[in-house]
Amino acid sequence: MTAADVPMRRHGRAATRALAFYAGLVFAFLYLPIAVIVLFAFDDKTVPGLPMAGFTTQWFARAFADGELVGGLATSVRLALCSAVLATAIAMPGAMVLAWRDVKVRTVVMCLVLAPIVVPQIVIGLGLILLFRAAPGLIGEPAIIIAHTTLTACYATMILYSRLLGFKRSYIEAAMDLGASDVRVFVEIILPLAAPALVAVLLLAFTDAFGEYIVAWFVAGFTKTLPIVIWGSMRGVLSPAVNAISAVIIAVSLALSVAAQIWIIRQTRAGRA
Amino acid sequence: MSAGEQGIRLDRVSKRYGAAVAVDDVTLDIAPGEFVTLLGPSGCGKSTLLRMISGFADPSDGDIRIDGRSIVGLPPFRRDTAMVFQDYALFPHRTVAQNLAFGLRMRKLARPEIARRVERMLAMIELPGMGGRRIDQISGGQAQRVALGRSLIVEPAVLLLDEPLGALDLKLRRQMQSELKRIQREMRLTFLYVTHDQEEALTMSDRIAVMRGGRVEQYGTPTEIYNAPRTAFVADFVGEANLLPVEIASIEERLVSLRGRVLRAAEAGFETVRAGDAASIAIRSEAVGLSPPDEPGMVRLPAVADEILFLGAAVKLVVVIEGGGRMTATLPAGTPLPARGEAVTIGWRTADARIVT
Repeated sequence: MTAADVPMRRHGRAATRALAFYAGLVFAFLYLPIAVIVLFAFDDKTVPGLPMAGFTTQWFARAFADGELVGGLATSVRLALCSAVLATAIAMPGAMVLAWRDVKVRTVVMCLVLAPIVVPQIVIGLGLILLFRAAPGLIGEPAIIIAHTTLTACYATMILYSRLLGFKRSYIEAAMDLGASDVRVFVEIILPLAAPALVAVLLLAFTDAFGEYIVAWFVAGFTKTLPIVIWGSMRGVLSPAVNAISAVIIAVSLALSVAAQIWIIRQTRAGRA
Repeated sequence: MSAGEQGIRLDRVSKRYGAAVAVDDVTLDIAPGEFVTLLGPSGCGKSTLLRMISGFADPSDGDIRIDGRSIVGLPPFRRDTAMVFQDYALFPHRTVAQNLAFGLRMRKLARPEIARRVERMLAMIELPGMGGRRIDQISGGQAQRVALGRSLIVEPAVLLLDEPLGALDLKLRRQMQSELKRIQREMRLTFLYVTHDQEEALTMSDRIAVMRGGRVEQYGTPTEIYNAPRTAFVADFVGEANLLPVEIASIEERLVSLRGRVLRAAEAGFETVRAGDAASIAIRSEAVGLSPPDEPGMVRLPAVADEILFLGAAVKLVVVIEGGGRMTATLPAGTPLPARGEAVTIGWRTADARIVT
């Protein structure tokens, strides 16, 4: 029993109730905005609002018949996939060097890597549009991929770095000692053991790139990602179809993240010797 | 480099990290098929030496040769050495059999050949039928065997072992010691073994290199190291020795002066000192007796009993000798013992008191 347990024990039931109430508040704060979208996706009114007029699934049909929304969704998925893979591919070698090699200016390098996180996105967007003036051909999809790769690669590096710090170096040394070349060590040992971290980073980078609006808007040209389509439609009358497509996205990403969590936990368990 | 040179030769090997010297001018020969132990306290450079042989560190100076060929600068996977790691480093995402097969797969052997050799190795490390187990499903002792088997299976010229039994409990460690010795004999392999456990070193080795501060203090058979330590450090680190500070009184007559009392010492050791030098005499605790007979060739000292420690098969008697200084005598169980504070006479044979520097 630690010292922290004592007051908890004394107040017993009251404390437990207070904690439950507090937790409820936190979750409400986090999930109400999301819940409202899902709720209104089923509302049978053109301008959704409480009280609900009736239950309908027509907005889902409407959403999937809307070429602009579906097109935006497809574009966003495609571009986010590219950025996530690129960002992870860039982050992994950097993280390996930072975690395992004797880098003299490690702190400086880490601060520099983190900079894109602390710089306001609007500033990055501005900077990128100025930069892309030198290569106007890239504006559109390539520019969005590059921009999102920049944004996500920094924290991808940090997450992988922290995971690799705990990686037993002797695994690598043992493999080399048994005759594995550098490439074989990477493929046979590092990749499989780092797989949970890599999947986590891929998912995080994907969702971040998928939903990012500000920077994408600066460099998009005529490309319309889903956030750009939705933002554009807000200037007119907000169609409940947007709620419907958002509800679908929420469901899919929740399912994905739960599945990934389960897989990662299993992998990590199997990985513990 | 001589043609036909066999085994491992460390030729004036040094390793410096900035201003710190981890290994300092070490020269060592290890014959093929020999079991050599690097023994010393932590930080004495023994592991660094092992890492330089396996290729995970490069010497700052000197040369390392295996069978006459320099291996300095070769990556670990191009060296004919295999290492058993202290933490075993078994790949957690692979089964026991896959761990064993790893080195053979890297050498691109045919699948049936790999399967055959893995089966044979599983039998050799006494884990038959356990090939399909996951690494987290086996015990510490079993993991130790798998780690050993994984290195042995590639049939290296030299097996390097970095405190491989450190994580096992005492009973299992004893068992694995004789197991290791058996495997080394059967496979006629060269073992280079690192440990800080002097008992382990004495039990298993053909030769022991006692290391201290990056240097080899003494290199010899366990008997030589135990019975004829050359330095106070070796005498103290290996076994339990009483070290008494003395002044050399006479080389010819082999006399030393212990706080004014003139004693005779064994002949060995006098060749490295001159009369008037400060040195120590080392006497093994089991060479010290209680109430020794008064006869030639015996040294007798009055003392006061201070502590009695029961060890089971033996008893340790700690005494304060006349003029100050403590000595420990290991006596067989059943020896009539004095009470604390009682005056006693202790003694040892002249031949058991060795000059060390």
